[in-house]
Amino acid sequence: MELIILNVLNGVSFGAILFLLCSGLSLTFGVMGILNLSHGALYMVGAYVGWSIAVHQGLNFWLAVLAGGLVAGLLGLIMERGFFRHLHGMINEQVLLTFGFIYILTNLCLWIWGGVPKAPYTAPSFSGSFDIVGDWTYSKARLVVTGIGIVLAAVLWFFQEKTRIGAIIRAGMDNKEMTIGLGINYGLVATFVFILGCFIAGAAGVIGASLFGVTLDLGMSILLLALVVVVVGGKGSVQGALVGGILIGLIISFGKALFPQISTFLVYLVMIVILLIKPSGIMGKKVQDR
Amino acid sequence: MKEKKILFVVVVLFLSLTILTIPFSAGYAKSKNTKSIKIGVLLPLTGPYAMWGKMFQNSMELALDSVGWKVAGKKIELIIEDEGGEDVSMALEKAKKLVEANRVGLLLGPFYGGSALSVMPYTSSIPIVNVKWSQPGKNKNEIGNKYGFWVPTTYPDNTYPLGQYAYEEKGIRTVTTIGSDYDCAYEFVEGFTDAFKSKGGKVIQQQWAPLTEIDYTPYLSNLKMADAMVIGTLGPPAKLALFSQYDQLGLFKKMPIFISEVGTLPSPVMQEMGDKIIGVKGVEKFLTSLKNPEAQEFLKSYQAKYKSVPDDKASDAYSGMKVVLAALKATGGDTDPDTLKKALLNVKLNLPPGPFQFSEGRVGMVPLRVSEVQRVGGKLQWVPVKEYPGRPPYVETYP
Amino acid sequence: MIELRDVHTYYADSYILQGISLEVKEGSVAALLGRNGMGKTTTIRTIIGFTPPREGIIRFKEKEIQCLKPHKIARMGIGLVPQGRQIFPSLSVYENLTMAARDMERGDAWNINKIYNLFPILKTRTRIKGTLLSGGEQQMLTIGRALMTNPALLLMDEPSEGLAPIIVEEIGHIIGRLKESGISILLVEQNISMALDLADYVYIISKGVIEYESKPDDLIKNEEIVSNYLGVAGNE
Ligand SMILES: Nc1ncnc2c1ncn2[C@@H]1O[C@H](COP(=O)(O)OP(=O)(O)OP(=O)(O)O)[C@@H](O)[C@H]1O
Ligand SMILES: [Mg+2]
Repeated sequence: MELIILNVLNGVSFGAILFLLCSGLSLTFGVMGILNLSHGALYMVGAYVGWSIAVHQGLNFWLAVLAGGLVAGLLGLIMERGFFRHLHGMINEQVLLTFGFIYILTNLCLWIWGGVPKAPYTAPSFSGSFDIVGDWTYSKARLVVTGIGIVLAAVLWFFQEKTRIGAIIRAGMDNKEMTIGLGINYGLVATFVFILGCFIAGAAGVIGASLFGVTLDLGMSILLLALVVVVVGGKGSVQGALVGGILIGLIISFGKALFPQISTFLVYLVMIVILLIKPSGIMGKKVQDR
Repeated sequence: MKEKKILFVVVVLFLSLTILTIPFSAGYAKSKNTKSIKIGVLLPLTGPYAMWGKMFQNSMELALDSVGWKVAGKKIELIIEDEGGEDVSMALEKAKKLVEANRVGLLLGPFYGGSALSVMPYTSSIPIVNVKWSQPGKNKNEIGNKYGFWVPTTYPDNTYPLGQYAYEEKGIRTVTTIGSDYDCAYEFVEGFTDAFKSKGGKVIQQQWAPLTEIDYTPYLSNLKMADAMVIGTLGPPAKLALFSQYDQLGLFKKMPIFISEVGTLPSPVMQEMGDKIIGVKGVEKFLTSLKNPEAQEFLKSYQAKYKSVPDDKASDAYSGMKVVLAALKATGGDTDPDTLKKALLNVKLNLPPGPFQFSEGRVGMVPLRVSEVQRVGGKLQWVPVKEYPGRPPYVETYP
Repeated sequence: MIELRDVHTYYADSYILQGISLEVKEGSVAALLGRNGMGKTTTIRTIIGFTPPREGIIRFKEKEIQCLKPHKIARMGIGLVPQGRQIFPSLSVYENLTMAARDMERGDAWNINKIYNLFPILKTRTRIKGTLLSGGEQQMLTIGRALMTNPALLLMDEPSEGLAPIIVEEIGHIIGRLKESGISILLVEQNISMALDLADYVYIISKGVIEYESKPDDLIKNEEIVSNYLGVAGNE
């Protein structure tokens, strides 16, 4: 029983991080049709920036979250305005470019922060643990991460489902041409969403760093899981990223506990099964190209 | 058309960035004297291990400095080639070039284990001195090169004393282990557990995490309580993540930690972790706190020339070159493979980690130090607590 | 209001509009008739900028618009009622309408309440997804959505397509009311009788060329043209 509770907690909190990462990835994929492979690298940049603020400067953790998000958002702006906008519909070029950005950003981080990985950092009030079941303790940081994930999910859901700009974003995912034909500058909307997605990635990096720290290969290693979550959850929807994130988080967590030998494989197995049953993902919509 | 132009700009940007980040990919030769002794070196000067490559190069050149780049009256020509990151075919190409075009008498390197496995069989006609253990796991018996030498001890031999120490000195009777899911980590853990079990200790649980794992909490949640935990995970990032989660779960007080290599917890990373890791134990050949003259000389000259602190791996590279120089001196500069092999087997030297010689199986034997993280002079440091003299591999696999 | 002068449009290499000239006068309805595949929708797409012309001039409110981006063209005051309705499936009826809202400052401007007054049935469906409506309701929603942008000109591409006769009649009434309210309309239709009822002027397009133009009454008298270019009313 204790083990089940612990594994659920582990799975949900890891899922929360995955959700934080994937909500932005999924949105930008849905809105711009660009699969930004450097999304994980932006997460990493955010985590490093957060380290500079929270550890190096010793400032407030939430300020670090904000700064991580802002820097990643700014990088997103540069990427979108400087590059992707000019590569409209050129899928191969876009994918290559986003892949290239992984290397550029990783080398930038190496240059600025050096090769030594940074230890996990968090607000002083979130460090340590408290007792939950029996003589088992649980980390506060993980619960905080879970909480942030839930709050962000609620905020994003409200934004996408209950606001006019959210309706425009969904309309664009349904039928981009028609949206433009109604006089909406969808390019601007897409830029906004892209930057928002990058901002969330950067902020997520700082939040994730409170559990995992920062290393130079984070951009690449977290990307794969993020892609799995987007495939499983379905692109372009907040609910999809949430369901996908939590599901993959739980599978990983229970996989490690019950079938350690095949836990990694299990994630891909689930992905394949879902692709076979529902190719657009659990919450996916069919996205028209026109 | 506009897109074409932008694409062009992007390509140029990419190329320039690539060139900026890859300093010297081409090999270079130090001199052109035909009477010289040619030593080929394969090092990762680009890719993820570039940091190590540079450190290895520094250490080898430092060893050459100490003899004025001359041995038995002959000039030494060092030909360094970049083996790339984990590019096995590139390493092999470069090895071929060194052997066939440059006609080197002996090879040092490569660094990456996979590359070593592909280069070793190819260079079976000349001595190849590995400055890293390159034959873990199932590859142990597939050496394919009777001239292959390894300066560092094998991975299991590295951790063997730690297992003895845990049982004999710390009264540990049960352990749970966690390691990365690949050959090197298996070997590190195996060395500990073999020693530990031979004394009567019990291994109650073994967990293996994928190499790219970042979230260790699930493993910790499923941990069986034992007297100690043994970590065979390589690499500082994984350790940072694991320790931090260990701490968040409040486990440091409950189960002391033994780690395979001190080198995977280098000084800057220790400072990152903070006081919670005080008392963590590990094992290593070379430590910056060693007081023997060879260690001191190496440390001082390295710091003077390169303004940074060398680690155990750098000491292996330095030792490797020292051993090669000693053998060449013994042969009078003769690079005939069998003569050189015999000379290498007879080398007896005092190196930074202590007295060195090869075992019959051509694996280096030096003293090993069980050490502990302590705060000394305001900084977290590895402090040796017990020294184990060098000895042949406990399982001699190289007849 | 809008004028096309010798407009040539291609889909990649296929040459579709081969020199179209037509005009919609302010406050009037011009009908563009023709059989399937003759280039009616392409004309609409050319005006709104989805497939800009390779040659020719399109003038709207005295300004050349053929080089503008579609959203800029729409914002100048053109409302699009596309063929096939193109309702956004992920949006509710309410959202389908409000996402398009624009230029609501004028006193007589369209807003959600006015749309609901015009199409009371939509008000009862406000929360459900747009594509769950019946065909007629969807057509109303499409028209309402275009009106929410407060256009001076409506481009309507076969609003009667696939609807029951009684619904077609209702849509015809609505278009008539819109014309009375002063909106100019370019009406693409295959339903000849409805088009001739509403239009002030008629163009017939065939293979990308305007083959005939006149007042509706003149066309009715010209049986040869009707049978040559329009065939049996409705579809073929
Ligand atoms: N995207 C496209 N690419 C190439 N050709 C196209 C494309 N769209 C339409 N066409 C062709 O252009 C011609 C005109 O098509 P258009 O859609 O304008 O006809 P239409 O008059 O609207 O017909 P309908 O009454 O069936 O709607 C047709 O021959 C059609 O096959
Ligand atoms: Mg049409």
